[in-house]
Amino acid sequence: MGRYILKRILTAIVAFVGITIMTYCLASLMPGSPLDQLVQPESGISNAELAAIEHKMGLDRPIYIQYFFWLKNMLSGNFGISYTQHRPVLELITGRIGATLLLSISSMFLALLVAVPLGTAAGYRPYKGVDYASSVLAFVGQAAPNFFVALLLIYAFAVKLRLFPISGMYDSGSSGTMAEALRHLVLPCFALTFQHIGIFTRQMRNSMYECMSDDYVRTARAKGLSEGIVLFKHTLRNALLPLVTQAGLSLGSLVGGAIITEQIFSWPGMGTLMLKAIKDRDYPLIMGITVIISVIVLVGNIVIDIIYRLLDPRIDNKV
Amino acid sequence: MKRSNKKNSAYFHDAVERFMHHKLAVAGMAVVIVEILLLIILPMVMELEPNAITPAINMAPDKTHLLGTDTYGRDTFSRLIYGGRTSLKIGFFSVLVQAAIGIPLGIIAGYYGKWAEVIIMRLADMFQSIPSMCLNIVLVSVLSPSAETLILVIGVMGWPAFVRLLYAKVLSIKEKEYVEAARTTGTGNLVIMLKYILPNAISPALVAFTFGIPSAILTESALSFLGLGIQIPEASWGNMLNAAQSVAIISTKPWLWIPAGMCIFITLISVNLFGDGLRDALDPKTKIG
Amino acid sequence: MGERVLEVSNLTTVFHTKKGTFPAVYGIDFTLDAGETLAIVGESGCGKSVTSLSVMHLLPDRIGEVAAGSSVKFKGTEISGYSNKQMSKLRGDEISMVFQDSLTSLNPTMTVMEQMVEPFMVHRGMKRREAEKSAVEMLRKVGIPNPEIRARQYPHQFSGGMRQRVIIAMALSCNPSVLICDEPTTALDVTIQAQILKMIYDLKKEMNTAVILITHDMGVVAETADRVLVMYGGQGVEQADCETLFTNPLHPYTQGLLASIPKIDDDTRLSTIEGMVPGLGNMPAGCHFCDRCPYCTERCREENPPMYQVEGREVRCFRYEEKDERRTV
Repeated sequence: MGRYILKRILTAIVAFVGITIMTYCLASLMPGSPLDQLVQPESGISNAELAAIEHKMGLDRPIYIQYFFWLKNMLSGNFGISYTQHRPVLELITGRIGATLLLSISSMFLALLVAVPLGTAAGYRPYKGVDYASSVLAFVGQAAPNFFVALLLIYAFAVKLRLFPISGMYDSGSSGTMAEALRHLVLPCFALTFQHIGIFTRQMRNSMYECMSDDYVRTARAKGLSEGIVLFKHTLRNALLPLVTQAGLSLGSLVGGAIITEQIFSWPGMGTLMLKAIKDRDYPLIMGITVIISVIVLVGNIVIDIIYRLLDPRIDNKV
Repeated sequence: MKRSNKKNSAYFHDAVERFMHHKLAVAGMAVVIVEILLLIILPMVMELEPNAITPAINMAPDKTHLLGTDTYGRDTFSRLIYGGRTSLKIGFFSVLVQAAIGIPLGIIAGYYGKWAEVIIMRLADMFQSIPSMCLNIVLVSVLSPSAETLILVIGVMGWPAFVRLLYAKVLSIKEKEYVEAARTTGTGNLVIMLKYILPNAISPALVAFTFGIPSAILTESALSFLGLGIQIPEASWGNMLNAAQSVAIISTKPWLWIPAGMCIFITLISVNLFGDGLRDALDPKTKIG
Repeated sequence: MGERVLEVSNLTTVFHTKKGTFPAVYGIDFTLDAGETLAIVGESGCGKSVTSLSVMHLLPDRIGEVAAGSSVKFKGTEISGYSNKQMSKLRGDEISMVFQDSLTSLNPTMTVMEQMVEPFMVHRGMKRREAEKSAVEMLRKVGIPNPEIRARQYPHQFSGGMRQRVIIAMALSCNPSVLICDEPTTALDVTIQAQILKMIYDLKKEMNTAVILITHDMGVVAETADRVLVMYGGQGVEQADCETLFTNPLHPYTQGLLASIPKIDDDTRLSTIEGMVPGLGNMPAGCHFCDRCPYCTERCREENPPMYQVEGREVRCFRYEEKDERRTV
């Protein structure tokens, strides 16, 4: 297990380096130079001074050297200064990361919370009411764009029924309690997760359906175990394995979808910060957020892989 | 060769039969066909002016404006039709780009193995492990938003799905006797890949293509929704929803955003159903209940 | 022989398929006494496994179904109408079953111990601690070395032969009256096969368990069975004690089966039975074997022969109609 985790972390580091290279290349393709902000006539900086700053920032070196400077700074926690907000990027991100994690993680859990019981019931009794209902939910979920779901939710639950607040994380002017945050979380969380509820339910249903005809299930019944034990102790654990894999695959799109969801609900997370940075062409901030979001997904994937290994003893000695 | 042709036609005959049994898939296909026909024919027979700004702003649906008008007095129905053309066009062509990158890479990774496999598959892993929406946003804003940019970005970011399906298929084909036989008689690698492997890889490629389209349309509409995709005045289903980012419009002018959202939804669900049927028809082994 | 533990009469099982409902087993009759070994033999697809799964109420959900009029008596009690709950009290306690594929028959995500303790806890009401002790004892009995340590491992860490021993240990945990073994050694190497068969035989003697051995291997039958039921196309075609059957097979199918066993001291060509077992949906109207039978007549094609009693054994073939004891009596 220890060796596996180590190996998994090493591949994640390779992926991380790949992502940073891509991000850096993208940022360097962006129109304008980081110095543009300084080269405004009213700043009164002379060309010589400008050249000195350029040298100090490493901008006169070849691009791969610049990349290493940037990577080195980033690894030591220096993500640069936001052009528009004039504060360290890392500080801006850490102020927002909690909201994004809360939204993403609660969405993942909500999807699993709905999909596991529903998919299990559907796969255990296929071609019955619950199964058909879960199929409909799955197809509808997969085809419903999260921003459209979000607008519909706002229309129904915030505008018409006035059950939940439309935007933000806390009521304006309030000191902000946990209960208040949770009430604000309901709609964005549901909008973000709706698609994944569909995908996960379908996956759970199919793997449950397949597991029910496995030989060990017959063995368990032949031992005289009750249906409850056969289902919950013998079948469910095996049927969960493909769902864990699916959760890993969906992690990226979940976190990516959070960007849009945050924007719609003005959720104060990294997504809204990112879109603002894009609008302002605030390169250090854009790069910082891209890297941090990627790290979150990479770490999440490692965690999911470890969970998979804890559930399935077979792979341990194959590594 | 003749025998294998015969075998192929029997296979496709069976596949068509299996597909037609799948009622939902047939329904999905029918909806997609009707939709495409409408998008092509309607602009020819009706006078649709998607970009004409008129003084009749914010009108509720009536006889002249089937779905009302927006805040610039543009006819929502016209925009819906032209937006659909844009969205479907971007969906189709960006998957074409994905296929152009993914199919050769998948075949190379599966056929050559070793370093080619390690590099290509790791790269695919990496592309799939990063939140693509995040890079999409950065890429689109770097390259300045337009239909061409969207096709390029969605195409470049989405190839791993093709690589995965083709890689798995090629691995199983390359062990087949006829490939071994071709190799022992000294047939070149390129010829083997084009003549023996590529034809067998058509089914997984078709499946990947079908499932690629809804996900590309989804990405396009999400980016357009954020204002980073198709730029106004040009219409797309995504940017029509962009107008609904204010509570006033959401609550009082549902005709401005619900039709576009429903169009995306119906298109995606139909193509997905069609894809499900296609996958089951082309690969009977994977059929589950 | 001892007490009658199992009496199966007119057991008919149907399968609901996409193309319609077809019988897979047609009115099977057999009995089993304590301590006895009955072998059920036949080619794959002849209904042997379906027969045993029908007795156990383990037919695949929604697909297989035991037809009305079938009777399965366990120690004199009719169990064919038992509910799943009633059956689960019998299964693993009074009637146990061992399946063919030892890898897929054990749960891959549970340790051997977790799976071994279940019968003790469910049927004997033991606490976990106590059940573990009994499980280790049982594993020792079937020849697992270091059972305390091995029991903490997962099935994939065992060899095929060892896994099959685990499955047998699990089946025998509660000292059942009937043990049904469905091709217990088919997936194993020949040397391991012999070990496993000997172990089943020894344990059966020790515990006075009645065994139903399902196999297609006539060699295995000759070594272990007391009586043999030959099945073809979902029907019993011949039933006799083991020695009689091997020395004097009556049914043309049994004769074909025995002729196809390779013999070392015989250099004539190996004989085979031409043709294939008919599928579920296209069973001949007459004798199920008629398409492959060298003695087939017009009558065989139109009429399905009943089981005739001949010299204390049963055979389903018109050639023995004259000798039927029930007819002369």
